[in-house]
Amino acid sequence: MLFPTIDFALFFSGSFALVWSLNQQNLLKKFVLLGLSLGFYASWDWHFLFLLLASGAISFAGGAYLDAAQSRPFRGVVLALCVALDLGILGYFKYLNFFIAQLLNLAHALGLDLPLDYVNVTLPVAISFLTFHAISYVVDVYRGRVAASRSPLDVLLYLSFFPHLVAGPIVRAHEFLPQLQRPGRPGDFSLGENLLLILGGLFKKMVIANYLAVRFVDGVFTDPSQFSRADLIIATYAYAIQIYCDFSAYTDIAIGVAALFGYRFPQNFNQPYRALGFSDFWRRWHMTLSVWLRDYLYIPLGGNRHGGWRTTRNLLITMILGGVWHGANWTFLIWGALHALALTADHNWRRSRAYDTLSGFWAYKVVAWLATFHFVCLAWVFFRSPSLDEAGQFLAGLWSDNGAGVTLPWVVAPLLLAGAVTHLMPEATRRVMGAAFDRQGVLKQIGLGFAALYAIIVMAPSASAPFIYFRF
Amino acid sequence: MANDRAPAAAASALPWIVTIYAILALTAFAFPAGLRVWLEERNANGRLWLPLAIARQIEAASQAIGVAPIGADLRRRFGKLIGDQDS
Repeated sequence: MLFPTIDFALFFSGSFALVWSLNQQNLLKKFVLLGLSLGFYASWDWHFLFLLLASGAISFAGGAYLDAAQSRPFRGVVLALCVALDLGILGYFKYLNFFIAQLLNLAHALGLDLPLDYVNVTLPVAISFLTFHAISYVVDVYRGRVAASRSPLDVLLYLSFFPHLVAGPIVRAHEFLPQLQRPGRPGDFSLGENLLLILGGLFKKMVIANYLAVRFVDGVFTDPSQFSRADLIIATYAYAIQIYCDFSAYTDIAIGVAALFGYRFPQNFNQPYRALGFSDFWRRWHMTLSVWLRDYLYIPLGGNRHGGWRTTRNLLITMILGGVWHGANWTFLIWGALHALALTADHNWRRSRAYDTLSGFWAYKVVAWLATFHFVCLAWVFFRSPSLDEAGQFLAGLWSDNGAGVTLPWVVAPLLLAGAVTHLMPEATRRVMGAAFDRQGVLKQIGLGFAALYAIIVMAPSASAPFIYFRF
Repeated sequence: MANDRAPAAAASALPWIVTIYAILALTAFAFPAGLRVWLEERNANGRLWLPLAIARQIEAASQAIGVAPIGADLRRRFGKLIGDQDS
């Protein structure tokens, strides 16, 4: 059940009034939200509910033990056990076959015959996001950032709350659990702002990302050797816009839907392609993942506290693991490593005297923007390509034109323009428009909301591609 | 359980509920085929006969006053313009 579907519209219709009708009975409201979230997850495969429940049990028990334990070594052991169990589940479902494949390849290259076989497992939806939420809870309890919850209901609802369950944003335990103590009130949120988030997300996904994918990008990345250099160059930019419109749409809708149920989620995107450097890019792109990786991986590894070499090592480990988190594929590993190297260069550059001298000039900002944007776009080639072979073909085609004719459909240009406009729309615009919407009477609000949704449905293609981050 | 009750001053969600359900209902009326097809695809055992009957009535009403054909026509025109053959 994905957001821009009739399934979700019916699910939302059935749950929205029900949940608000229980706002005076917080405990019952949370039970109903948990039931809805489990139903939402079960709509893919009910068998994986056991996985969700197991993850909830590990987190709840781990939190309770961490809270009760006095001795620091014992707390460390409990934390390590919880994190190992969470990562063990992720590793089994997501990476086991990848490791088996690498071992078999290595054995084949060495002329050995390993008695190993692939494991028949289905990758559960949302397992990567579920793992990050589970780790966030136990680590936050360990660090004293959030009190261990006495309620297994709260922990399970934190892990499974349906707006963030499938593709984020990654909501940290200390951000969400306190919200479960008191039911949200409509007065705490702007209806207009959150409807704009949802409608804007639907437009970005259903119109821009879908058409870019179906009409151009998917074809080029499937067999890049059949396309001209011009096609490959435009496809590189088009994928940058597509993945932004796709992923930011999902999290915008998730943030808006959560707010309509009375819960606040953190922002996940802030005009990432305006970044003037790679650390700036990661402060704007998938912000909740960046903060998660920083707080739960990079800083525990030592961060930038122990000199240049250790900083580079920590960045490499963090970004490579962040890359592989997206999928068990060498392409994601290389994407992560490229960003790690770029971040290292960025880190060193910002500490240099030349940076202090140049950074105030507008010409420097233009060059920094061009370099950052184009590096990010090129790195997306690895992220999008199904394998290293296709990525190699794509880059070779960019380097030396293979002589194929240009097939670029005209519709890509207005889609890129629309994507750029939605990307550059300042946050304040939505706040101002949302406030203006809230000041209207109910009839005008209905008319405006309906007109926007009508226009999106008129423009949307008949078939919708799944969200890119859905498979992570 | 002191926290399990919302403060008395909590604003009512009724205006939100009215607005959002009205938007969804108008959309279902403007594009009734989507819901009808969705129900038909899941009605192999006939258990959805009642919602399906309602969806067909909504579609008939929408067709009769010319709302559904406008939406379908606009979708077709936009799909043709943009080169989406299936719209």
